[in-house]
Amino acid sequence: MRTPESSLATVSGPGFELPVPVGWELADDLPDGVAVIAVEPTAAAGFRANAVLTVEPLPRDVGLESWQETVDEQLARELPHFLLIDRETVGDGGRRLMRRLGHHIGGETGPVTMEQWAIIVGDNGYTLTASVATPAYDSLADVFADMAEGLYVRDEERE
Amino acid sequence: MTVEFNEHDGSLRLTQTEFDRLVSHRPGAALMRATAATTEGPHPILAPGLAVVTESVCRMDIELTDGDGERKRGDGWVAPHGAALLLDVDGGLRDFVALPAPLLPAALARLVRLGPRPMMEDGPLYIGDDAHQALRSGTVPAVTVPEPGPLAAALTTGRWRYWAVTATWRSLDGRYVSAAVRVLDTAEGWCRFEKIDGDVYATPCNATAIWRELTLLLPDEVAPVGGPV
Repeated sequence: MRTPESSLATVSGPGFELPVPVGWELADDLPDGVAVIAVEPTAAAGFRANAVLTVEPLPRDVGLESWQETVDEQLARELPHFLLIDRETVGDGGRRLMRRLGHHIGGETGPVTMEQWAIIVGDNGYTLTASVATPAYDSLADVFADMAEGLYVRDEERE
Repeated sequence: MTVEFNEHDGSLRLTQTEFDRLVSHRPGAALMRATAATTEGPHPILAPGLAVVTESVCRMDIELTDGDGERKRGDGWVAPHGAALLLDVDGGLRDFVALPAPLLPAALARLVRLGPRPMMEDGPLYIGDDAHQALRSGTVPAVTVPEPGPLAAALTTGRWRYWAVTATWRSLDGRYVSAAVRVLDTAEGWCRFEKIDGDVYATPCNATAIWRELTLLLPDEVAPVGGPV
């Protein structure tokens, strides 16, 4: 099922565009390395679904797979009761992305399903992390996928 | 030993017979010797989980079958105040686990080892009910397809694990409703079993698709407590 285009609005920043659901709140005060924080306006399932786009500089010799192996270890170490459910490298219009699906259980958040898409463009690694209360995952899974598909990052080296 | 109980963390391993005695408040010597129950009732740490069993509004049936024929079963219960699982372990014993209902998908995912696999580039494969039943019982099915692909090869090599979770509950209008996830785990990838126009097909999928189904197993609305399931 596709998300109706009218249900998504594009957020633009330096060198990137990301569609987010209409009505989601955008954070103004962003920490270093965070390009977008979009949050569901209400906590339908006890946890406000959200999407976060982060940008981090990567050494030139670090590829997608080795970068993501480090992330795998970090997630297992830092997220309580982390369970890696799915992980695949996907090609999308000439881009190579890594998609990961995981589950963790926080004391305050309860069970959360998180889906990530990671891509390297130029010297930067971009990660879109979408999180939702697990009982509501199915209702947002296609929206998350459409957000990832619509993520555009300009490769300044090529332009 | 027919009952192993740790009163500090609430872990309980026992036979089905002892479990039935515990739930029906008829503890025998083994349950009392293990301190899982007294003549007054079950140990307080077990009481909430056992209340889930007796007040359940949704029942779950779990099947796991390896390609070598080893079969394990599990039972699950969901009540308004929690969930519980009773799962086969070795030696004719079963583990009883109580947990919050929203954690059930993750508990089931760990049980069935849901995780990343390659994705089989293959279309839906007609299996038929006989072959599906053969997989459930742990025997290699006779699958005949015009052009065997990776899925047909995976089925016939025997390197697979079949599992299914079926949830049954009574809807608000009194009807019994069930939902099931039926899956084959192979080294080549995951596939789901689906009925299409009355025939059983195996369809390659990724772990994400299975996770979506697991999160949908719990009913949105059920009959009030007391509805027999």
